[in-house]
Amino acid sequence: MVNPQLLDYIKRQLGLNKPREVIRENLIRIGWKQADVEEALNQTVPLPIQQNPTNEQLTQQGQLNNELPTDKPNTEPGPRPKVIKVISNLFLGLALFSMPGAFAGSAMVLASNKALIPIPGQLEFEIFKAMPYVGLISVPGIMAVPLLLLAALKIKSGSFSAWKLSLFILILVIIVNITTGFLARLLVDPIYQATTNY
Amino acid sequence: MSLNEIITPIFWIAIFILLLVSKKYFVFPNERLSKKAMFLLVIVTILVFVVNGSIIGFAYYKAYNPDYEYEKISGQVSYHIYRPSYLPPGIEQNSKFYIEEEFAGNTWAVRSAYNIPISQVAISEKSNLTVITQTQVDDLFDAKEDVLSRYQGDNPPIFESIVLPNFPNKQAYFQTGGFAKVLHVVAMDNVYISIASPRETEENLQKMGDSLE
Repeated sequence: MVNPQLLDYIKRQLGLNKPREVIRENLIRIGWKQADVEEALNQTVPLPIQQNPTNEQLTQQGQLNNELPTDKPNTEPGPRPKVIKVISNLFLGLALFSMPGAFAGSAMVLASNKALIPIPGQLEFEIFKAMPYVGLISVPGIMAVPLLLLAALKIKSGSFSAWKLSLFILILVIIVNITTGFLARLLVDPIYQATTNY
Repeated sequence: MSLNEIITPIFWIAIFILLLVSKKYFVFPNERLSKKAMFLLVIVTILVFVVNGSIIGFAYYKAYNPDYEYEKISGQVSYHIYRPSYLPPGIEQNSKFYIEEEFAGNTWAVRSAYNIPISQVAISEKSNLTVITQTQVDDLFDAKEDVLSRYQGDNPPIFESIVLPNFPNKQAYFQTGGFAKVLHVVAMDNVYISIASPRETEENLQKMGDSLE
């Protein structure tokens, strides 16, 4: 059975001289199933056409254009284009690739401590005292993993706000990675090199 | 460059380009994250922050509140381990107390090291290492004779008898002429303490010896 709200909308749109193709596309775009739309279109008879719509009718048209039927008790959101799924998977992949980086600083601290401990009298985590900025290495990963995962999950909705959010997250992650990487090389490398030579 | 450093920028570029060219497909209504997705996000965030925060925090605490294991080593030897209450300006203890295999013909010697902070050692090249070694000796032990008996060079070191007014002792010598300056002290309880440094001044070494407790 055709949704009455859908039927009523199509009738109004046809009465305003909207082509059937445009009505079909609009409805499918917002999530109506094609089969339901086709059935409704087949059942509708356009309202009488007026040659010169009045100003009141033009205003009504503008208002009605915004009143797309949203009550879809028997329908589900239509399938998202494949590109959305691809982008979501890419964000997920990037989040997974950022995981090692998130733990890199901690791993370096633990590994260097373990390597130095066999030296008689070696104080624990002294490497951290020599290179207090070693924690910076983890910052991009710690920040990136949750944000990229958020982008991967959110972008599946296919909404424009999700698109904006994901773009913002991507740019933020790139900037933080580049900045922190530069800072880490600036602060950690000289001490690391000197310690290695010492 | 690591694999991660190559692949990550490729991901960045691929996603960026795809986002720009696919903008027209993002016309669906905004939806909240499902409970499952939200749960996953929270778990991952907690994991990343808590694990890293714990490790870094623990390492930071241990680095700036070091355990020199004085009590532990004291329990392993039969004599009192002396520590200097005076350290030259800018010098700190930078090793634990640890058992050294042999010193002055005796086993179970304890050693500890003092120097400028490690962060400065690496970049300033002004290391000022001082090592204190101590062990139990017998009543007849003579520090000067012990050093001379082990010396195998042409120019034997020079010993000067000194007085440490604040540290009761049986013997106190200052040794110069070799690679390092050394303060030799035998305490009243027959603990032989050697304070050696290649760069520290005689005055500071004597002050350290005088402040032993």
